Amino acid sequence: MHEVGLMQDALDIALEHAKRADATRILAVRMRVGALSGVEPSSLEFAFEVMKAGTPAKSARLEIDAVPGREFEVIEIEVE
Amino acid sequence: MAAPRIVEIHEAVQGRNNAVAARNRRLFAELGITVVNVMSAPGSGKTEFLARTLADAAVWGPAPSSNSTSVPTFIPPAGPNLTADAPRRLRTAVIVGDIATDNDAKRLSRTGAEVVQITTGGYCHLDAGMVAQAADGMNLCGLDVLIIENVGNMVCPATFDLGESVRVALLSVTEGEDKPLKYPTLFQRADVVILNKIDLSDAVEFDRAAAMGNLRRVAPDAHVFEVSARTGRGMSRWYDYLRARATGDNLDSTEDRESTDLLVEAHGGS
Repeated sequence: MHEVGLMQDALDIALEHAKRADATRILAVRMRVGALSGVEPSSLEFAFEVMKAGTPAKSARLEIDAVPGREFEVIEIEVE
Repeated sequence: MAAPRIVEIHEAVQGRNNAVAARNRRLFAELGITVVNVMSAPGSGKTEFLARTLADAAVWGPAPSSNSTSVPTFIPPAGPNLTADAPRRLRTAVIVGDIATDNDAKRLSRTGAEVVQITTGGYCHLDAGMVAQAADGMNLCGLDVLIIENVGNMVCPATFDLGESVRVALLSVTEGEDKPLKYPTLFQRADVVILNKIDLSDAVEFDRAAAMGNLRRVAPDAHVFEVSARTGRGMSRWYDYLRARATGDNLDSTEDRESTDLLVEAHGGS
């Protein structure tokens, strides 16, 4: 259930970088989620769908790279 | 319209929490405070465990010639203000996290320790910022041990670093032998596992060997203490561990967990 707060932080990171890169739209957000990170990918996806509304990421897809380990990071965004 | 392009980021989402946690850890180390983050499911007996710890662990000794028992006894190095036969004291305080109510804070206040309640208002865990804010309002000078009672939840608190020096996962015999396998993250990251309510083992037909086997699969190196916070059974070994951690950290104000663990081992840990 903490995925909502974490997704907000992840989305903020993505939006900040998109703005800095003078992008108008985020097409995709790629994240790496470790099996030991304590983060549940399906909850993350649900939170993303709710939170992206009204932002430059509103039509973006979330791509999750599931890995072993504890990583939980925003790898890159695809923008235009 | 511009063509799609990739912006590389590679930023840890919890980087912001971790930065605050690192600041907390530095501050606590400078002040020589051992910070203990206690996590468990609701109803495992965290508050009872902490109430007894606060009441019983704060004063001990005098040390000389008390060569007691078969359990390992850690002899903490004497601090500058201690004479050989004076009772040793730990000054303790508590930060209590709950989603709602200050019932636990009231209960712990009766021990005489300073208690600060954080009411998260629906948030399922404490984060480093909440701890920084709570600590800001406390009298930290001269404090030896700061205990943080996290929100009762086995999932979310496990992933948020608060800047603690000791992570404690508490589990009771009534919860079932496979709890460590069901909630591995909490146990994998624990320095200490408390198995509580052992006075109820027979009543719930607790299979100790199965539980220990499961626990060791996910937490092979954690210090395990089997206790009944209600009756006090088994608590003294936990106090010894806590005192050794606290006095060890006071000696060199180190942030290095490894060296502190080694100190504990050198004084007779398992």
